[in-house]
Amino acid sequence: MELKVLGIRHHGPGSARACLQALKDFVPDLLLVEAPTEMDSLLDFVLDPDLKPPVAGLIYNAKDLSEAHYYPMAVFSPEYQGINWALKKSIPCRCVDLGIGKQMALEKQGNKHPSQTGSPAQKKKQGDEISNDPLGYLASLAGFEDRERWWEMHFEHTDHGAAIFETVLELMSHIRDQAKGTEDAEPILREAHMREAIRKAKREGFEKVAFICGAWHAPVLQTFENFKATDDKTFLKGLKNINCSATWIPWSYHQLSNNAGYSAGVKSPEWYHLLFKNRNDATIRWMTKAGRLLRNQQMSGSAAHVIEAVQLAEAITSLRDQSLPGLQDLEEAAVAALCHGNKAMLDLIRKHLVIGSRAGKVPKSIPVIPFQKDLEKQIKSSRLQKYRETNKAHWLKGTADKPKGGIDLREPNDQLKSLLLHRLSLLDITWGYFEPSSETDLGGFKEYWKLQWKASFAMRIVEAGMWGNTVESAAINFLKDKAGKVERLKELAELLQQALLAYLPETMNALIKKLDEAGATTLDISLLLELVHPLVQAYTFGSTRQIDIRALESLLMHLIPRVCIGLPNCAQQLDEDASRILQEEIIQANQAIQLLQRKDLDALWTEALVKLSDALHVHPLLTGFSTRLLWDRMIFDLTETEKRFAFGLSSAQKKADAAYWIEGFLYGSGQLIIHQPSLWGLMDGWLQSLDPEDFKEILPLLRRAFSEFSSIERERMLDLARGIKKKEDNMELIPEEVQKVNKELGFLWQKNS
Amino acid sequence: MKNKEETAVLRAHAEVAYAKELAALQKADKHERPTNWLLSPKAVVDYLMGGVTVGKTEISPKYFGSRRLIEVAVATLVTDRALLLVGIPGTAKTWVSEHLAAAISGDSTLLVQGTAGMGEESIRYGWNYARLLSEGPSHRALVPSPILRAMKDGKIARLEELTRIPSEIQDNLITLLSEKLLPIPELETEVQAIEGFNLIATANDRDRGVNELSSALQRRFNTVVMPLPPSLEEEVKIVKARVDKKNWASRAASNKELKEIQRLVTIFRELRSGSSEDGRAKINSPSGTLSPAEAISVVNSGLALSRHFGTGELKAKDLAAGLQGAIIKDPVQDKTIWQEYLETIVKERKGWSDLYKACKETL
Repeated sequence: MELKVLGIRHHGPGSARACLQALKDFVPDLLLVEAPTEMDSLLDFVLDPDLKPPVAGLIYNAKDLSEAHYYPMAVFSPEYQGINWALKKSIPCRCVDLGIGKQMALEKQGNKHPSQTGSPAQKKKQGDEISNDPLGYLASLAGFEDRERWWEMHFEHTDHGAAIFETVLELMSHIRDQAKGTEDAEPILREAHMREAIRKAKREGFEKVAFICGAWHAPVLQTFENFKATDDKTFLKGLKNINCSATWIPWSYHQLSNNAGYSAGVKSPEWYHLLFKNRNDATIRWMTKAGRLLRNQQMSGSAAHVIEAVQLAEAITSLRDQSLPGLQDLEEAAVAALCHGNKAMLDLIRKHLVIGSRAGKVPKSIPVIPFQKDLEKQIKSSRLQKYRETNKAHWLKGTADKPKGGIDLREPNDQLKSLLLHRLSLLDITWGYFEPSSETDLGGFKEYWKLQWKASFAMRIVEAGMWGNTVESAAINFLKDKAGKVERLKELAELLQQALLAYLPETMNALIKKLDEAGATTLDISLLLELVHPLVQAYTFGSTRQIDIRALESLLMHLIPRVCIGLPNCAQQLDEDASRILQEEIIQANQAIQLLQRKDLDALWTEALVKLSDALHVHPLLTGFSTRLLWDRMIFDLTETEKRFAFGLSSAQKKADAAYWIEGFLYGSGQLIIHQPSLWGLMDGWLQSLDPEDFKEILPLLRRAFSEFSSIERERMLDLARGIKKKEDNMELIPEEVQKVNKELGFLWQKNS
Repeated sequence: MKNKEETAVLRAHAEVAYAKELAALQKADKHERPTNWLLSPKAVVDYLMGGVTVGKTEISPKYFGSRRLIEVAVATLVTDRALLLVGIPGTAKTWVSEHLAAAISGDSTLLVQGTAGMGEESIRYGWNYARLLSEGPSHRALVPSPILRAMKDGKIARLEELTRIPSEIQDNLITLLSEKLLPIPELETEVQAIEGFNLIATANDRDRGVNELSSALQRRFNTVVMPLPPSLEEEVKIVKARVDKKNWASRAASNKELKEIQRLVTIFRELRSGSSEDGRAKINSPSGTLSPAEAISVVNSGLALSRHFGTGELKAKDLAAGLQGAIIKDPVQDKTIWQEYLETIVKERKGWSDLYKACKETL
C-alpha cells in the first residue's frame, strides 16, 4: 500500500491549493482525514448543493448539550477541499481521528490515559500553539505576521504540488524530535487511533491512501510502520465513550476569526477566502473592494485611487523582496493611498475585507433536532420567514412611513409573532430586541421589535432543544428549571413577567403559587415590598394581552395588604444605607400601587405611609420622605405638612437628623419649598438657629440634599435666601391650587425617576 | 582648507554632511535603480534607517522608528504619486524629507517653504523684471521655482508646510503632479518633467482644517503619518542622537547626563500624553506640542548654559530654564499646569529633588 500524508495548515488557503494539487497528482483510492469519527455521518452532505461553507461540524453529547465541539470548515480549508474533491470523484472518505465521545470521556478523567500515572504535561499553552498550527508558529518565529505569506514564500514556489508536503514532513520530523517527551496523552492517543485506521485500510486492500492531517501529525503517520500495532491497540484499549451526535450547522467568518470554542481560528478569513479563490489578482481585487467600500461610506475611493494603491502595494512588496503583497503591505498601502493616512478607516476595511461577514448555509435535509423543526414551523405560521432569511437587522413590519413598524397584539397573527419572539428570547435565542410601545405605557397594545438573525443561533437552537421538542415546551421547562434555582423572590417575580409575555399560563400559575407560598412564610417585609413593582407590571402586561390573570390578581390582593401592614415595622431601627435601599423600594411600590388604581389598596398604602411618617424609631430620611409622598398624594394638606416639617426640624432633634429629614422630604424636587413660603420660612428659621459648629457638621448632609436639584431650582432658592422676590411670588396663591400644581409636579418626577 | 569650509557653514546639507555614507552606499548598491535615482529604493531605506555597515563605512541611523513606514514612503516615490508626510511638529517630517531627497537625487536644496502669503510664482516661475522689460518674455528672463528646476533635472523637490499655503495656490500643483508638466503660456511652451521627478510635501497636523487640501490634490498624494516615538527608550535615543554634536565638546555623554536626558524626555512624554509613565496618575496637558524636537532644543540650550556658565556637565539647573520655556507657552494656564505637575509628580518622585528645586527656583 502506498501512503501519502499531506501535512497541512488548518484553514490555510495555500495548503488547500497544494493539497488539491497533490491529490490530483496522486489519485488515491481512499482519503483519510484528521477529523473525529463522528463526522463520518456528515460527509454525505458535503456535496449537497445547499451546503455552503463556512459551516461547522457540531458534535455534541446528546444528553448534555453544553458539551459540544465544533469543526469549522471554510472554502479555503484543505480538509473541505480534499473531501469535496474525493467525493466528486467517488473516492471513499473517512474521518479517522479519535472520536469526540472518547476525547470528552478522557477530558473528564483529567486528560489522563487509564494507564498513565502522574499529571499531564504542564507546558500545555505553548505546546498547543505549536501543535495546532506548527507552520504558523514557524512563520511567527521567522517574524511574519501574515502567516500565509510565509507559506507562499517557502512552499508555493516549489515546482511540484506534492513536493511541498515532503518538505513539510521533513521539517515537522525535526520539530517533533525536539518536542519528544512533552506531549500530552490526548494527542498521542489520537495519533495511535489514526495509525490504526491506516492499518485497517491496508488490511482492507486499499492500494493508494492519502491522509490529510495537521502538519504536526504528519511524521508519525507517514512512518506508521515504525510503530507496533499491538502497542497502539493496547494503548487505545479501555477508553470510555460518551454517546455523541453530529450535525452541520452554519458558521460565519466572524466566528471563525473569533476563536470561539476553537483554538485553531484564523485572523483574516475574508482575506484567505480571496487568496484561495483569486490568488493571482488578489491585490487588485482587495484594493478594488476597499475602494468600493470607502465610496459607499461617502469617502473618496475612485478607480484612480485604487490604481495608485495597487501600485504602491506592489512597490512596497518589491522593496521588501517579496513576490506577493501580504495583508500588512496591503493595509499600509491602503492607508497611504486610499485613506489619506487616516488609520481609523482601516477598521472599516478590516471588518469587511479581513474578517468579513460571510455566513454559511446547511441543507434542509440535514438531521435536525425536533425543536428546530417546530421552530421553523412556527416561524412560517407567524409569517416571520422573510426576517429569518437575512442577517441584517430589520424592524418588524417597518415601512418607509413608519420605520419602526410595530405589531398590534389584538391581531391574532401579530400575537403569534410576539409569543414566538418572547419565547425565543427566554431561551436565549435573542432574535428580536423588544421595545415596549413606551416607557410609561407597558400595558399598550403595541410592541416594537428589531429582528436580526445571527449565525450563532444555530448552536443556541441545539442547546434549546435540550429543554424540549417544541418551542413552547422548551420554554416551559427552561423556566421551571430556572425557577427552581432562583433564590430571591424578586427574581421569581421577574420570571413571572417573562412567562406572561411568552404566554406560558401553566408556568405562570406555578410561579404564582410558588410566590404565594414563599410570600406567606416570609417575615421580611422588604422582600415582599420589592415584589410589588414587577408583579404589578406583569399584571398590566397580562390585562392587555387577554391572559387570565385572576391568580395574579389574587396574589396581589394578598401581598399588598401584608406589605402595608408590615412596612412601618420593617422600617424601624435601620441604619442610613438600609434606609436608602428601602426608600428606593418604596418609590417603586408607590408608583406601582398608583398604577393599579384600586381604592382599597390605595387606602391601605397611604395608611402605611402615615404610620411610617409618625413612627419614632424610623430613620428621619424615611419619615421625611413618607411625609413628602403623602403631600404629593394630597393626604396631608399644607397645615399638616407644616406641622410635621416643624416637628422634623425642631430644636430638640439632633441636627443631623433634621438634615436627613429635609433630604427625605425634598427628594427629587425643590419646587415644593420654593412655592411654599411657610415651609421655606421654617427651613430658613431652622438654618439660622444653628450655631456655627452645628452648621459645619451638617453642611455635607444639606449639600447632598440640594445637589440633586436642577440649577434653576437652586438659583431660585438662592434668590429666596437673599430676599429677592420674583414677580410671581407676590401673587396671592390659593393653597388648593398650589397643591394641585405640586401634585402634578410630584407626579412628573416620579415618572422621570 | 576643507575643514575651514565645514566650520563656516552653520548647518550643512544632508548630502554634504553624509556624503561619505552616500558614496559608500552608491558603490555597494547592486539593486536596480529607477531612472535618475542615485540609489536603489532598498539602499535609500538603508540610508535612512542606518545600522548597517557598507564596506568600511558605518551607516548612521537618520530616522528612529518603524522601518515599514520609511519603506512605504520610499515605495511611494517609486510610483506616480507624490509623498505627503503628516504629523505634529517635531516628528521629523522635514528631516526625513531632506534625507530622502539627498539620498535619491543627491540634492536636498530644491525646497519651497509654504507660507500663508505665498504667491503662485513660488511654485511655478517668476520673472526677472529688469530682463523682462528690456528683452521681453524670454527663457533668460524666466526665474524658475525650485519645483520647476526639479522637473527639468529629474530630481526630488520638497515643499514644506503644504497646508499653510492658501488653497488657490495649492491647486497649481494639480497639473504639475498629474500631467507632470508645467505650461508657460508667455513663451508658448511647456516644461515636461523628466523621469526621477517627484515631490515630497510636509504638513502639520495642528494646521488641519486651515487650508484643507482639495480632494483633487489629495488624490495626487500618498499620505504617511509620522508618529511620535512609541517608548521612552526610543525617544531618549532620538534626543541623544540629535543633540548638537558640537555641544558635547568632543566627549561622550556621561551616565549622569544621560539620566538628565531621560528625565527630560519623561517629563515631555507625561505632559504630552496626560498620564504618568506608570499610568497611575492623570496629568493635565499644556498647550505646547512638546515634541522630541523641542526636547532636543532644551538639551542644546542646557548644554550651552553648562559650558559657558556652569561646570561643563549637564545638570538639572541647566535644563530647568529651557524646560520652563518649552512647557509654558500660555503664561496663565500652562503655568498652573506646570506648577501642578511639579508639586504632584516631580516632588514625589525619588531622586528628582534636585530637579524639583531647580525648577521651583526658575518659576
